Amino acid sequence: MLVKIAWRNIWRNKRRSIITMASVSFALFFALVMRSMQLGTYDQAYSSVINATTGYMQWQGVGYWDKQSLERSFSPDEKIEKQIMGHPEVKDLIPRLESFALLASDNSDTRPGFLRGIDSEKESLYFELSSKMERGHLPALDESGVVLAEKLAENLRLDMGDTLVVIGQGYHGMSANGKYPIIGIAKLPNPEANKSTVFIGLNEMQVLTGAYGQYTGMVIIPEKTDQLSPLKNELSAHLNEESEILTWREMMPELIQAMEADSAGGLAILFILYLVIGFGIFGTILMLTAERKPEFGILISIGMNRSRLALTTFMETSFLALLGILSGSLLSLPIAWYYHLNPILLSGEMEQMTEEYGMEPIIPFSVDPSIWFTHGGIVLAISMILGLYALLSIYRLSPVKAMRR
Amino acid sequence: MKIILNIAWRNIWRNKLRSLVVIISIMLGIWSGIFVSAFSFGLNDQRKDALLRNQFSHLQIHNPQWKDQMEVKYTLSNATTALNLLSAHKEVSASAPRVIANGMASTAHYSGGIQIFGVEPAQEDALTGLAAKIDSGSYFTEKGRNPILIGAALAEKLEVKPGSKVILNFSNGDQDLVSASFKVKGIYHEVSSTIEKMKVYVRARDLQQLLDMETNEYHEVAAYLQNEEQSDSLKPFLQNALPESLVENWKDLAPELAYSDSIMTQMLFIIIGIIMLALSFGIINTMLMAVLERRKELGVLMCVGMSKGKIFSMIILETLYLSLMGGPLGILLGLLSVQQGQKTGLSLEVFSDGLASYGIGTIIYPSVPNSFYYGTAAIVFTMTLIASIYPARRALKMNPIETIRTI
Repeated sequence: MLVKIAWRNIWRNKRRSIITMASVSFALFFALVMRSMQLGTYDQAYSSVINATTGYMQWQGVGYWDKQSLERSFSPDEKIEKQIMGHPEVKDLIPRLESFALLASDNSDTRPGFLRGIDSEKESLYFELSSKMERGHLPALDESGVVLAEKLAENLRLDMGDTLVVIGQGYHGMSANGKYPIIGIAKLPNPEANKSTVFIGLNEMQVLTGAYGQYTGMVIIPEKTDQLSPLKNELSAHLNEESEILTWREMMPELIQAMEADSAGGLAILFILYLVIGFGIFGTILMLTAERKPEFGILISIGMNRSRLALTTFMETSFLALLGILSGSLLSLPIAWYYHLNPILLSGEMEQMTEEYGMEPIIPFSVDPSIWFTHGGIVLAISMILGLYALLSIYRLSPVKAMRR
Repeated sequence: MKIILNIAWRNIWRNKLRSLVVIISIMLGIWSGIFVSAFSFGLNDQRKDALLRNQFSHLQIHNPQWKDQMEVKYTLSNATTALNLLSAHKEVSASAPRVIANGMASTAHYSGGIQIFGVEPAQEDALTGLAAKIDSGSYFTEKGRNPILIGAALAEKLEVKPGSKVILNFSNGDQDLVSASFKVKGIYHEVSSTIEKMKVYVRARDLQQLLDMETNEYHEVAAYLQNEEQSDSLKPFLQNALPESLVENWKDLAPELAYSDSIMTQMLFIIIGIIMLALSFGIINTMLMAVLERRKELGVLMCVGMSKGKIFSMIILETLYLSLMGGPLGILLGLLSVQQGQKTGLSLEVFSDGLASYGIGTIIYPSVPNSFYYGTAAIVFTMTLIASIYPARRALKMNPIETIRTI
């Protein structure tokens, strides 16, 4: 009964209700589209960088990550390795041996590059490395041949079949020099990686650097990527003092902070928007209570309970907000879905700008339902708090004065 | 007309609370909009200044081949002429030549790729303020063999401190590899952590010797001007004087930097527009109510002969009054808070690492170009005008006879 009255009351002044709803709906629509875009971009940036560099979790020698030198590589204890692999949430372990070296060619100056000794099959299985090959094939574990990232090959003026000379520092001060035919060119989406990466077979890398049986890290492939800390704690229990497990959050705090700073900016803008919309809703509630004062007066004097009246009015304002929230959410959904499936491609100068930040030039949208619930909830909460003003004025109302007007 | 101005003014104060809600919402919306914009502008400006100061300067002169391939053999044939030309020009505040090589730095603990900058100590300091960035150790002096300055982030990885040795490997341009030992003279810090990891500085003379270059041979001449806009006029002048070299200004070197200015302004205007759009819902609603609750009164006014045009302009004026109070107040508060922010700066300590990877310091000084205030004022005015049309038309559509007939 009260619900029905509240519902009918909304439509007594159609125009005003629609405008109020439209304002809520507009604010929410904008907020949702913006958040969906921002959070989608962060997810994209995270996964792009994670897949191109560290993976979600790594098992490393203690102190390797800070220094990233071969001297801090480790040879994994077999018993621990079995225990980690035996954990139900660990899909696989991928060994890597990585190091900086100078790269030389006949055609250009020497330049620094990043040698990544990999197990091609496993990397392709989890990081889709083979799909990034432009030409040629990835090196087998002990094949004497390397794959260059596209931009690096261009800078070195080398191509398939040419020879790459590697001059570096190996394990325990040994020199690590070698000559390798180029057996493939890979196009890596991360711009920084595309300028510096050389893929080489893992065993061949151990031979080159003299780090036999050593790895700089074992990438742990988790079943679920969103809850890494509990997994890390469980796995860390098995470790001895020589090794540790790091998640990508620990390995790349800069990336997270940069994204959080950006996110904070977006939230500041939404805060302003909500502030403004809050005032709009408040204005409506103000008018709604002011123009109905005589009516409230009559209702109270003929015996309507103040609390029931207050409840009706409160429902009215909540319905208004809910309708706005519903329409705003529904309106933003198709847009977010569309751009989730077809990310916006940046071009020209915008493309350069994103590459400057080490990201791929695409903007995908996120369709994580929590965005909708969070912002819908915020707007509902704001309007309910403002709705309290109507309650207050009903409880304060003196029926006689109100009717006399 | 004066009477209508008066009537409209009085009308908005008939329902004080309602009008005040609208005025305050406009004021707060515009104020916070300007402040957030000032913050973004400040962030962008600081990033740009840091990049221009430390990395790009305003003008750079290279061998034309250098752009595609940074190789040792592509030296500047007329570096001395270029330097003389620049120092003769009063718009140039500092200029410096550099020898540049790509290589690897190693110690027993770590080895990593770097860019080696051979610099003339005094000139480089004038250009980028390098000496002031030294945290521990000291800047170059004439004395000592092969001194090197290393970024703090790289020094940590190499585990070196002033006095330690670092081995640099790089090619000398004839397919031969040079390996030389340098002694760490000082550790410098930089806003951008990427630069700290990439750049090491040595004396030009030392690097020239290792690369078998003449003492007046360089790869790059960079200049910092009094005003960034002067680079547009100075660039063709220098290009004419130095036909065999390539002269580029900062807009060529970092187009995204020049672009980020205009894209930033556009985006912030859009944000102000969106805030104003949200505000206009409130304005329309309030004015519509103001019209509808005065049906009878407006009907009477029409019956006694007030023309439709006058009623229309009265409603529009009422709307404008609301935003002409809220808007300027918001802009004024924005201006004051931005000025205050410029004095004290806003600390973003929480995000320091992330900002450093963007090349931004932790204290942000908000700033807004004056044109942004005018632009905001224009947006407020236009949007209010548009928002006022609907309630004003609503008032005209009323049938005077019907409105007075109702109770």
